[in-house]
Amino acid sequence: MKKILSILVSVVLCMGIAASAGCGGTPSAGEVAGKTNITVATYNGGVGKDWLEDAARAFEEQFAERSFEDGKTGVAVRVEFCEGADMMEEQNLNKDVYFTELFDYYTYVNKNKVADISGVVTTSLEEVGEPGKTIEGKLDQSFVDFLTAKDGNYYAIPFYEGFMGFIYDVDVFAQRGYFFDEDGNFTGDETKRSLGIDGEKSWDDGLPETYSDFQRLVDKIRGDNNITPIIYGSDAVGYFYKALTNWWSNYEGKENMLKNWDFTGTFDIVTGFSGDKPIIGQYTFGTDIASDVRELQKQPGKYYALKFLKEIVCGNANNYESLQYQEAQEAFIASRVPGEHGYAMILDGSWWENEADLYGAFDAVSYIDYNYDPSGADYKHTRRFAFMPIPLVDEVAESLPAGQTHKQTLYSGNDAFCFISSNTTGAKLDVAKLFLKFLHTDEQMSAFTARTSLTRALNYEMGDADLNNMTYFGKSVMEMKQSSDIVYPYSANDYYLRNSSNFVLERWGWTSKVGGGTEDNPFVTFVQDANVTAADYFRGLYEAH
Amino acid sequence: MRGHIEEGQRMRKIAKTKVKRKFDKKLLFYIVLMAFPLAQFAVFYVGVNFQSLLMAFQQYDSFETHFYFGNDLLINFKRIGEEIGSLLVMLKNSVIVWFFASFVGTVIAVLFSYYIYKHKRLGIFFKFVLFIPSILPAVLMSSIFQNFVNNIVPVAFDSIRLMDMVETPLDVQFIVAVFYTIWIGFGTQVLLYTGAMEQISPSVIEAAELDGASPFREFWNVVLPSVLPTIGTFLVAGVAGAFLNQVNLFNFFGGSANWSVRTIGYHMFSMSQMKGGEVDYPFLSALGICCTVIAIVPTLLLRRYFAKFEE
Amino acid sequence: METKKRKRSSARFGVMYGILLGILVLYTLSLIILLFWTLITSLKEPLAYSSAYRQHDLGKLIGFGDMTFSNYAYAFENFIVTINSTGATINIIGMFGNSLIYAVGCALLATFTPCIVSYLCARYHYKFGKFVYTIVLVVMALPVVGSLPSEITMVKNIGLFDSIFGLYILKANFLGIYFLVFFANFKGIPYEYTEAAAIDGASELRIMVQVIFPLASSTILTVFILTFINFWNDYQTPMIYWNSYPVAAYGMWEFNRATAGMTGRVPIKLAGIIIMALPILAVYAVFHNRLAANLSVGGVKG
Repeated sequence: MKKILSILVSVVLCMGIAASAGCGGTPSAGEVAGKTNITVATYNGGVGKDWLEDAARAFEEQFAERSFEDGKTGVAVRVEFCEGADMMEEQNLNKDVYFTELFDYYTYVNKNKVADISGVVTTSLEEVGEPGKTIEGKLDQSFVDFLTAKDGNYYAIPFYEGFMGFIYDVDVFAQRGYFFDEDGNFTGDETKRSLGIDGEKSWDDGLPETYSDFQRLVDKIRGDNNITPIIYGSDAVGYFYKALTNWWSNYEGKENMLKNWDFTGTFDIVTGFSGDKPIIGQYTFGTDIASDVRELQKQPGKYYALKFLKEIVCGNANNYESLQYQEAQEAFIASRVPGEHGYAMILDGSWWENEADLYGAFDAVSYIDYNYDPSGADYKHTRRFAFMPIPLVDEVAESLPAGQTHKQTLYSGNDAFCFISSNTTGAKLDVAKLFLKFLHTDEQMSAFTARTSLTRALNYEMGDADLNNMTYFGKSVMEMKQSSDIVYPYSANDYYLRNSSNFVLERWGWTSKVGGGTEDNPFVTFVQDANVTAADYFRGLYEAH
Repeated sequence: MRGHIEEGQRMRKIAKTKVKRKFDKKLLFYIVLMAFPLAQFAVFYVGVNFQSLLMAFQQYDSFETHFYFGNDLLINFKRIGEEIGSLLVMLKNSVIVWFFASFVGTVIAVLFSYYIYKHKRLGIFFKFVLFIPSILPAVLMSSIFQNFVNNIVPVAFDSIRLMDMVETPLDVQFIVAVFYTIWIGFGTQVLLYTGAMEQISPSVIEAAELDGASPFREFWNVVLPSVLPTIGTFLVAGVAGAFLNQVNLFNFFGGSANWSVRTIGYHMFSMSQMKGGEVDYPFLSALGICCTVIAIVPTLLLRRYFAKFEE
Repeated sequence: METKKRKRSSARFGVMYGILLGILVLYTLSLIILLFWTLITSLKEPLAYSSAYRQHDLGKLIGFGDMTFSNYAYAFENFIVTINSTGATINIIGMFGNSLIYAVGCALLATFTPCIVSYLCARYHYKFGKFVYTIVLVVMALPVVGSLPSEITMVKNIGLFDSIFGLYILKANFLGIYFLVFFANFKGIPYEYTEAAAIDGASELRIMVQVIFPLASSTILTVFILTFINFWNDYQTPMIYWNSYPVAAYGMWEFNRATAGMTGRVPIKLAGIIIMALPILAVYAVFHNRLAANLSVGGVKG
């Protein structure tokens, strides 16, 4: 017995030591002699670190001859993984540059965990080969306001962004004739596709422009054999309310949508219903913001988003099907394979292709897809997927003056940021700052997008070589981003800043009181209870906030 | 208690005969060993609960990232009032779970235990199997169960999936979760009660059998009274446990179970672990205080009732 | 008259025995069927399984056809957690390592803290011991609910968040039923042992560790194993307080939620479940007699 106890005690002591060695680490180990070394860490949430390794090598090469401290020439960048920011906020940050998610900016600023990088953000990128441009110039105003609200300084830069919506398989649409032509008839001929909402040849050609177009498309698909219009991951039903937020944003437009965070000016609200048509009035922010914000729950865009979900998506139980998350992705990829049950669209995010690839879904399908020639390009690059544009509310489409088009508005709520640790000083700090600048040239951001099919939450142009290396889907995401207004849920409004957690999507978006109970996912509610209408759920939003 | 006094007297005797220095060493030893557990208690029980009490009257500022006392000290309690509709649904769910787990579950477990106690040979086998669900991680058992009722049951009975967040009707979700929780929870209870039954002195049972008592009388008059204190402990702990019981919902659905199937325990846990959860901490603390107050009365009543059966 | 009555009640109880036996058999059968199904399905060819499910072919779905061991190899290699981890992926072995660090350490502290405190209270005559004893009883009687947010804040403020030492300290409390178990145990050991050792000149520490604890070793080991199993199976505490180091139970939860790792197919997932279950089943096989023997837990008065 005593033996057992003493063994146990020594085991746990050893483990404690092992654990502490594991988390502390020694930043000096593995440094390259004769160069100024920095360590860059990135969160491994599906983006991986390959893009960062590429960038680090390019950076080392570009500054191989520059000296940042006495007796040393050149730089060496080591790339590691780090945790989500919520886990690191109490830790001693011993790496120099961090790319991470779940980042609560003001927690880090108030705890003095992050270095002031105003110089990096506001001065010219000439040093890294992009004269006349600054990072600040590439940032959306919402970010500028939010990041500098404390003392005018910048402590972080936004990392990547994510969009959510229906993604379709171009080849399946062509095979089965699901495109619209200019006369509004279905066609499989890609050359005859309509010009779409934007009225010019682009990524939205041949796709539904209005709610009723979308309804027609879904009805047509449902009527066909061996294919289901929509698939979604049964464990990712949360995606529905993110997609809803996009539909809501698209109706409101950027300026009105931003009212949900900047709390100023006048915006449209639904004051009542005549039949099932909303009566639209206006509301202006006064002095009592705490009670005024509730009026935002009456934004008409919310009603129309719910209407789309209720009447079109949930309008028929055969419109949608669910599989487990990765099974859903795999089944969607396999849709064009003869003999497999098809799914015309998947509800997913802009990261889905990268993610499905990491999990091996493309590999798995490539074995059963006899159209694929393994001697050519890798399977993922032979496939054509793209986002569906968000259809317009019919009334809005009708009221558009002839010749005028509608610009899509997307929502990107993503708390991924990059920053420099406040522990980094001296020559390391200089190099870390330079590296951040380097990473935010158009060239490097373009390389990031080419590598990951994800876009950075800044404005930049893609390089031609990078565009050619991208998958069809990656290109479509970039094209969609560049032709859309993007809403980032941030502002410098004092009430917003002090209560910002209340205005994250999970709390502010879709929680509603319906029939005495609280619901937070409209999709689940509509499937569970056929009697709940879009208007019921919409009225409940105001009740619940 | 008597042992305590006797020991004290002995100690005094020893203290008198030994040199005084020895006594000090003893005190030192006592203090050194007591220090850490007491400090731990002071911080993680007294401190945590005191802070929780304060928090119930505070608010969270996301810009300064701290908790503060606002103008309205009762704001969190007012929010409870605003959300009372859904909270009462969760309270009702918690009470249903508590009732089934504490009373129905206990009755069946005691009867099982009696059978196992009386039939030792079969009992060993039953005991071994019954304890498996409590040995395996709950998350693992619920994963197996969920896959079974979502894959096999629908095919075998041509029914819907029984534990799918979207597809399964909410009342079915709740019934299945409660059923599963009780079904899986027998093992520990049976173990406790058979343990208590085995403590009964064999001579008492023998005497009862010699008297010609029927098995029913034996159960009712001899066995049951001897396990009542154990049952009492279980039921008393069950009251506070009722507000912590998540009915395995987190195992099944993570943080996004539908509000109308939630129990108080699940709701509080899933909100506490949410990203950016600080903003809800004051509200959760206030809710915790209310639940504590609700739990105190039945706890005290049950304690008083079961205290009668001891000694 | 009396014998008749007795016979009748005996017969009635015979019926009740029968019913009880029936229910017990049904219950154990349901458990065994579920576990057996897990085993069979874990050996099934994943594609055959999913097509049987789609075609609603029950025979194929639960039958013995299309068996393969490759699910195990696959699960072993591919069950990795990336989400919220240190970033780099962690495999089953790594998660077992984390589980061991967490469960062994916490179980030791959660065993020895009440053990030592109850020893001090039971065997030293200081009045303070009575006070501590009262604290334990009062805390057990108070049904405090909802202090988790405060606890998280406290751990963060002290700087112990996401650190194994933080978890160790958090779990090193003496409150609860095991204090009473140990207390009764130490009270029951005659004082002659202590006196004899004291006369031999043994120090207080020696008396505790070498004389008294060995006498209570059976209880100590049982409590240790019970708490160990509890900690090993617990994913919610490490999920909150030690999130960067996923433990096996947390990994299992993640797999079931299918947000990480290659878990799309049920047979592979069940193979992973069986791998995950092996260590704890081994512990159970070795110690099951000890666990089946009871820890006598007293009534509400303690």
